[in-house]
Amino acid sequence: MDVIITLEDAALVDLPATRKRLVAAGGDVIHVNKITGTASARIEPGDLGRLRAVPGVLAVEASENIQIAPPDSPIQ
Amino acid sequence: MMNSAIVQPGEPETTGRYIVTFREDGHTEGLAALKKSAGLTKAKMMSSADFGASGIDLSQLAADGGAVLEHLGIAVVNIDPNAAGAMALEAGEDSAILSIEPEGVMYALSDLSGVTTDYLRGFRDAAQSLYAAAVPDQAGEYGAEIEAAFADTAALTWGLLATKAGASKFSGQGINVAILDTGLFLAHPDFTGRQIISKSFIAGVASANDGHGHGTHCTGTACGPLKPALGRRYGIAHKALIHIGKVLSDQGSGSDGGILAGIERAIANNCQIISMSLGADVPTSTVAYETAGQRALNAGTLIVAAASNNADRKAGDFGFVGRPANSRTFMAVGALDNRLRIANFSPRDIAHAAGTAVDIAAPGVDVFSSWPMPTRNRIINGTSMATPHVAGIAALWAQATGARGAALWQQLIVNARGITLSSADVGRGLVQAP
Repeated sequence: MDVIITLEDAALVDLPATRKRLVAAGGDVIHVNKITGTASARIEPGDLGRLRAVPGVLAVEASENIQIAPPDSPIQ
Repeated sequence: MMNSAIVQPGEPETTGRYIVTFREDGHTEGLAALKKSAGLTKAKMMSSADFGASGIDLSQLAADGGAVLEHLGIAVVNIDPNAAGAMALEAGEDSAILSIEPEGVMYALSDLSGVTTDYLRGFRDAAQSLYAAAVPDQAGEYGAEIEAAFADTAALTWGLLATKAGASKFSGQGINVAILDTGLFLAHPDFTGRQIISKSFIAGVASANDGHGHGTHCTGTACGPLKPALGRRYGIAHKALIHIGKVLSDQGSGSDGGILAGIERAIANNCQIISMSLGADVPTSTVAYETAGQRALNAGTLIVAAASNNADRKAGDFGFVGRPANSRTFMAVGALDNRLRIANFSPRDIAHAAGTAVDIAAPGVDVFSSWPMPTRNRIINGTSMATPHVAGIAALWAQATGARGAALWQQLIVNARGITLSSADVGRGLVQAP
């Protein structure tokens, strides 16, 4: 499953180390965003608990898919 | 430990629990203090983030546990009164914990002696009567704001007339505006000679070129030209530097992860405004968007987002503000028609939580703007079309006042035109240009 991760301020000081911890917890990390303190990753549902327990992780939430209307729709 | 003290008459009744308010950036430090002083370890704490749309159930709180309400920066805890008292003495502006207060017991109004249902009904009827007398033209849920409708002229779209953007002396010069959408039709004549920075966040797609049309329409409204080669003007911040983030594919799909990466890049590129005409019909926000929005405001970036198109008011369905516009730290935009009535599809706040409502409204019906060639221009509808009106006008305010982040938000809100529709539909009202 795809997840979005919120990081605490302290976890942003050493982002490479934070990324390593996310990977070690089973996360296939896609983005780590230093300014917004967020990240995205793909993970097996069974590893969610491990990811949430990583020091500096404030929240792990399911990533939603966004879908806008097709080009020919009058309401966009 | 529960408070078993007998409540004296006139004394506020409490539950025995305590409300802990953290300093804005003191969440982690505050939890550490609770652990040290009251023995509340992480294992004893529940988090609202784990409960999603269902909301946290405080009845599950352990006798020696607590719950963190992530969006509010508040914890509800069961701790020893002596520990609470000692921590309260330490709390304050210089501490990670601003305050520790006993949790009060609340009752529904109908349980209050002296305030009967009949009294409240009479109060309601009186208020409605006074409102009807003060606003005689108010016509049901749609409202009816003005006698004459705005209309596109040979020179300007109705949206630029209603918002006064067409008369503004400001151009957005010196301001960076990011449009996170399906990209931009990069060869469109509207943008010939303009400096455009673009990046795709869609896996396997290298170019930010728009093969859908939605992103091109939004960019045309927010940052299109002062004098298009054909037709009336629809672009607002015509001298702003344009940053295009393709976070939606040519099929119109994307994900939260790509959108967060797009927000990050826009902030890193010093964009003062991010326009996001996108979202999912999910009524709850996320910690990730709330946090990203707050950190964006702190960095001087205002995020403007479409409230969604999930209402069908004619059928009695008022919809709800979707995600991520329902984040308190994003400015959510509703859509108006050319008579300043709320659009049929524009949603109403359903008050899931304070601050998740529609914040402001803008033209979103019969909006004329750019479209990929050879079509060139198109008229469409949506809160997606209202949002870039606010983003473009935000660029004008940013240029005019130097305001950034929360101060720029304030400029838009205090200068909006009040209209006689519910704030649940239009927030502070119709956005106005400086």
